Amino acid sequence: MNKINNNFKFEFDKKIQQIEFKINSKIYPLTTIYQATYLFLDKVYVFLDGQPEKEIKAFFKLKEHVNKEQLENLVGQFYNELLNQVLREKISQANDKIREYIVSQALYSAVPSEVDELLKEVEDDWQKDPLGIAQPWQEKKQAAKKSKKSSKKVKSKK
Amino acid sequence: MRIIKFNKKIYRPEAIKQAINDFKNLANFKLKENSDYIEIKINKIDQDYKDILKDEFANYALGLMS
Amino acid sequence: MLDLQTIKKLNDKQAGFFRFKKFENDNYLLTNDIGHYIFLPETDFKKYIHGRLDKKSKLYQKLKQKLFIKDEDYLKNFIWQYRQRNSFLKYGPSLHIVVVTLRCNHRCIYCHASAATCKDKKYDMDLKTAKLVVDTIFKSNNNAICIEFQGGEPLLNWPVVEFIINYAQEKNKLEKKNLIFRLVSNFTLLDQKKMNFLMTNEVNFCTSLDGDESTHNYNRIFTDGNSYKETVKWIKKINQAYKDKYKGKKKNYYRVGALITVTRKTLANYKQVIDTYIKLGFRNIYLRYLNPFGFALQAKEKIWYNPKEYIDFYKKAFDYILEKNYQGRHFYESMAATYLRKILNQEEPNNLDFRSPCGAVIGQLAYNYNGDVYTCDEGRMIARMGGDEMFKLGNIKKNSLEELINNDLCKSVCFASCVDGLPGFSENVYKPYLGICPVYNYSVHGNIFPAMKNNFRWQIDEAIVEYLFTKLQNRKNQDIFQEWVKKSKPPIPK
Repeated sequence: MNKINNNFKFEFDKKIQQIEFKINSKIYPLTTIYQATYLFLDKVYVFLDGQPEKEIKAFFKLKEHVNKEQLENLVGQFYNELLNQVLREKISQANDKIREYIVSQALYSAVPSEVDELLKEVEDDWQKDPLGIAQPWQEKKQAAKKSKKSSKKVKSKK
Repeated sequence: MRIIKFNKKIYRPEAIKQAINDFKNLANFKLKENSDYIEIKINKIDQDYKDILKDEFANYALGLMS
Repeated sequence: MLDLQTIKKLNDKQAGFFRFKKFENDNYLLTNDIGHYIFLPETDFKKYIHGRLDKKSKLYQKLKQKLFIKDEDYLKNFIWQYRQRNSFLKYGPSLHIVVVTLRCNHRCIYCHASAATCKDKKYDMDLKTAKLVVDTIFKSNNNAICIEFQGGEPLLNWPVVEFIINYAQEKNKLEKKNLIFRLVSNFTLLDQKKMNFLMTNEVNFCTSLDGDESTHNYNRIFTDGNSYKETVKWIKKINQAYKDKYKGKKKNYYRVGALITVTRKTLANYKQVIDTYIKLGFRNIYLRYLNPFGFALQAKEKIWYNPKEYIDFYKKAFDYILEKNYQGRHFYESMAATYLRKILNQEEPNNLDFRSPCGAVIGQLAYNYNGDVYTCDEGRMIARMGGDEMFKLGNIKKNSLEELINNDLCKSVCFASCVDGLPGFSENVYKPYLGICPVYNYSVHGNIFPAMKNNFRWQIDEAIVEYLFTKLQNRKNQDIFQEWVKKSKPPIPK
């Protein structure tokens, strides 16, 4: 039995170049194990088994021959990556809602919706009052009188 | 022939089936499912990959889980 | 070192969302969704995640300014900067690649376009199609339009190039867009008349220059002469013409742009290649790696390299360029400058290959000689290689611009090129700076989504960004990189 530290022990089968170790899935959730192992798929062949509620058994089969130091390095890197993934998951969970809010505010509010644009057009048109509906009839009558007078003046000058 | 037993609580059946589909040109795959495991029997493996196909297949299936 | 006890004490009320990576010198690099970054020694990193930094300290203020601390201004500032960073999403395609012919007078060993021979005139765009292309282009809601002539060799279909420029200029009198033309050519068919016309219409000249004469001619076979000599002759002529035109007016006048396609032969010759560019007066070099399109796949034995070989070459070339800068020579590498603009300025320089989502459809469209429209030039190359029309949007003779853009293919490539949520990418500390190419993934893996982390392109792009961050830890380099960022927006003739 090899050890990286007291929390992380592993067994090495030299014949088939395979490392076997156990991961406490109460400390390291399955999602973090997936994320961590994904980053090692180019270096090792990974196989997982066990009881996800309690403990995962991980088998790392090496793609090429390594010495003892390289082996311990690899396992140490994986252990560090597990810790990194746990921290990432915590940060992510703590900030999920706020990130959703930020993206929706930043992108949605910058692009007016088609409905908003149509409403704005209608409002603008209404404000212009093309049919003169908002104008009181007395004003309209006075305006009509004024324009009659001015056209008479023009005719007499001619 | 190579045999792999995938724990259903760890490996999603859809990921295994996707992997079988993506590897279908390299070998024959037979799938058998029970309550806890999906057993895959691999035979007629392409000569060029006979030493590594089982492990590559398992890696690929795990990659599809992420 | 991180341990479970440290992680348990995370103060999630104070620490905003960040990604991180530990460097070899035990410094932690942190980045966030805006693209701000900071290096923290381990002790400060732990204090930060535990919320134990002195609020009056310079470090706390720096973290706050870079939006790593959730205080009363955090939301407002983050939303504003996030919007700025992603403002390109508001606009339609700005880059329009017009393939006026597939014919070419070169037989480049890596030709991504799978060029046809000079005789095959059936691969020329006709005037009717050209007019439709321009009409379609002007329907984009983007006020900035770049019409880029590609091929084959576009000068082989000069009448259509000339027509498109004239017709587009005419249309633009009414449309009043910010219209730019770019010609990507080997220059061997240029003459004084064509050059004058192109310069008068302020067309940007771009070419391929693969380094010194030996390397260039090895990669770029021209049976009618010496490709290197012809290309260099015209580079010098055009640059001199621009210098004369802007004499006394502008210091930073326009120059010809060039890029190199790195093949195996280039790897050992990086010094000669860079020296050639400097000698010819270029301000920069773009050390473009091979892509799996066209003839490049057939010549695998001759020209390809693995990611490690390219990364090794890139680092040496980069260090050589940096050395030149220390000696007072202003010269930069273009990919690095693109990334540095994102890192130092949190801007999106809109290099469509390195964006998330990428430029396919929403940033660019590629119009083939026969009017077929593709998501991008690479999508067109896939079709040319083996007849796979996976990335074809339609044809301008049958489909409106809206039909070309508003379809499931566009949505698929956008979705597939969004690094958020992709395993191996979304939690990556370099995620704010990187992009992926669904067409590349399809070509190599048969799937528009990236398959595994050992993707050739991803390995290289990540390695380059990491190298830049390694260099950024040196203050002397920071000043040089700021200069690169400033200079990497070259002046256009207008």
